[in-house]
Amino acid sequence: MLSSKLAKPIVGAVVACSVAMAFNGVVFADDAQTQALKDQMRIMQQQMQQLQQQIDNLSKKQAEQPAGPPVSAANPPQGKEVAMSPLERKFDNFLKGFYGTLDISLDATTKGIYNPVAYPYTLVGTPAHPSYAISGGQKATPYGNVGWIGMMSSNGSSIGYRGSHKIADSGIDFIYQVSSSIDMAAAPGLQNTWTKSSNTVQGAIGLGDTYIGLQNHDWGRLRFGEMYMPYKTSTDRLNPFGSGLGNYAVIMGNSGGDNRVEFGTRADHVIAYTSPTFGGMFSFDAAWAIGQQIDNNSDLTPLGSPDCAGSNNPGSGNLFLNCDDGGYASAYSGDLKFETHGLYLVAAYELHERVNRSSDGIGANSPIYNYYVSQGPTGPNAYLLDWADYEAYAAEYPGAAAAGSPAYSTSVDVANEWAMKFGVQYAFPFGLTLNYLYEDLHREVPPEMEFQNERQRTGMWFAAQQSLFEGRDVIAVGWAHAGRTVGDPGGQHNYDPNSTDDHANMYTVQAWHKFDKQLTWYLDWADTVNDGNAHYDIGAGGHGIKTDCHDATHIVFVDYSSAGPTTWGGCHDQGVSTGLSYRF
Amino acid sequence: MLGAASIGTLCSGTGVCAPPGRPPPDKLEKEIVVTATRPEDAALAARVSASIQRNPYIFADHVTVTARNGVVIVGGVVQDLSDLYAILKLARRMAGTRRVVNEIDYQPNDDDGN
Repeated sequence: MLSSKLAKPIVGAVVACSVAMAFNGVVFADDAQTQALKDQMRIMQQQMQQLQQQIDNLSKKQAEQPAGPPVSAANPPQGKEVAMSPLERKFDNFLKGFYGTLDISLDATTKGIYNPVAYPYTLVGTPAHPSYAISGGQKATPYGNVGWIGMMSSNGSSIGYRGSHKIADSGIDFIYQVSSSIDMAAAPGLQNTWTKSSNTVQGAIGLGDTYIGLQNHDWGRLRFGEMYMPYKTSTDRLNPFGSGLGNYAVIMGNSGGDNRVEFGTRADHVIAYTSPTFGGMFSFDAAWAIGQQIDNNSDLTPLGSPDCAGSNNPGSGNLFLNCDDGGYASAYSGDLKFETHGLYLVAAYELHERVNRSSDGIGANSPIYNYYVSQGPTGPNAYLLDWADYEAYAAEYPGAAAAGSPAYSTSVDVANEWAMKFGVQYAFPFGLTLNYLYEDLHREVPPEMEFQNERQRTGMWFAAQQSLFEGRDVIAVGWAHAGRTVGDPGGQHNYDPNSTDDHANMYTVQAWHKFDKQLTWYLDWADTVNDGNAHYDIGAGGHGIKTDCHDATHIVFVDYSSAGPTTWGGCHDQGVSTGLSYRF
Repeated sequence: MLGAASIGTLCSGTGVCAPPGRPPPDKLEKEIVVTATRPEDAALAARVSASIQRNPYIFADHVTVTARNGVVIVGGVVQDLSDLYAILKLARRMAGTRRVVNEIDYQPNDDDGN
């Protein structure tokens, strides 16, 4: 283009000079000389026109060639570039859009349910001033193998494709990403086990952050699709154990104290905004997961989703076709981030609207719940329980209902849940990175329901990672702490209402050895020590297979008659995992 | 970033004003500096990028490095946290006193969170 712009004035100047010379010639030369000059001029003009034509053609060809690839770590500018045809270049760019991880580990883990004893308890006094007493003989002991067991696990293996497309000369890019999960160690399918029930296909295209959106350097990025929320993504970098047994999601964001991470779950139907980085230091994210919920009690599967919001399918909470085991309406999530040099500060917040946990009481061992049930549908506290539905069920199935109990009323056990956290990370120049995170989880139930509020507590996380030998080897240690909860629904088989200090600690160590840029071997150990009735696991939110506090009891009645799989509070999960991870 | 090249006011911070429709003198100088640093930006980005690429243990095939007015911006996607740490460390080292902005999507290969 530059050569074309210069050529035009040059040609013009040459023509002007030629004309001037010719004009001067008219004054001082005879006719023959004039004719000779005219011929020369004509020849020169023809040559100049040909030259101009050639320059125009070259300029056109240059403009038609696609722009070269941006300077990237993958293709730094070289002295000589390999010549590629447009088709080859297009195919090369297409291939560069693929990325992913293949990961399989061999694990040995234990549920650590060692010689537990379980007794039934009864309420002595009133729910406002409770005390408890053993009301019967020892209950059944754990069923099945709750000690060490060997496993193979596929840990977040995935293939994704992402890219961008310039929208004419608007300065805006259309962006897209399609993720897929890969089951490396077993056939893909649903997760309908004795401890979990989900309609989401594990190992399918679309399982993973999948979206389309718009991006501009000046105003940021807007995305639409299925994705993790900012509450999770803003602190992922504070957790070196992403797919390990000791991933911090065992406790952080895990308001149920089990193998589901309520404030770390990928959400459907999300609109997410990411700001540009202001001053090179500040940025924020905001996201809204559209509830698409037509029941005010969040009882139904959101329109367009295979599962209830917050994962698991209708019925997992023991009520037919209901999302009463944590289903919610909309979710709102955001973060504020500050990063300069090696310092990273983050604050994040997430709200789940109208979370339905009305099934928490069914079959539970809570003496207070049982006290309310014993008062019957005309008792002073009848409004806390869903007697109407229970009696309708009992009329149709009297046999099953005789062994069952009513759910909590949706008027008292459908409530907002929110979480907030503050984190700090500092990376020293010599390869040490320190991470600290503090978290506060809340469920806003009425005072009379606080006795069963296991969703409200604090949490804390500390991790240190050291890089060695120019990054060839990495070692990290982590410690997560869950504070005691306000209450407990008493779903554990060995629930002891006198043991209220249900805190937990998770300790983990992991080492990585990189063979090269893409292939890594790792060795991981994690240990979760539950106190009181706590039942946190290992592997939640990260590792492919979770080792939790459920024994092998698998006679599950999906209705008003059972609390489902048998959970043992105070379990001591441990595990060792080693595997290979390949990135591309 | 390109704010330095745009014209928002008619007077400079020192009170020196320009004729209507013209930027104040110091704004004009900044514009000239911005234009002059473009080749430096390209060289800076290339230097940071080459440094990352040379490291035998960083997988950065999906990482981009750009520079605007002396500010290094690393973007793209990584799935290994140690890669993210190492990329930021190298970028900061190579950028020297210049600022490094982290716009990398860290997508850990954790399970689905449930």
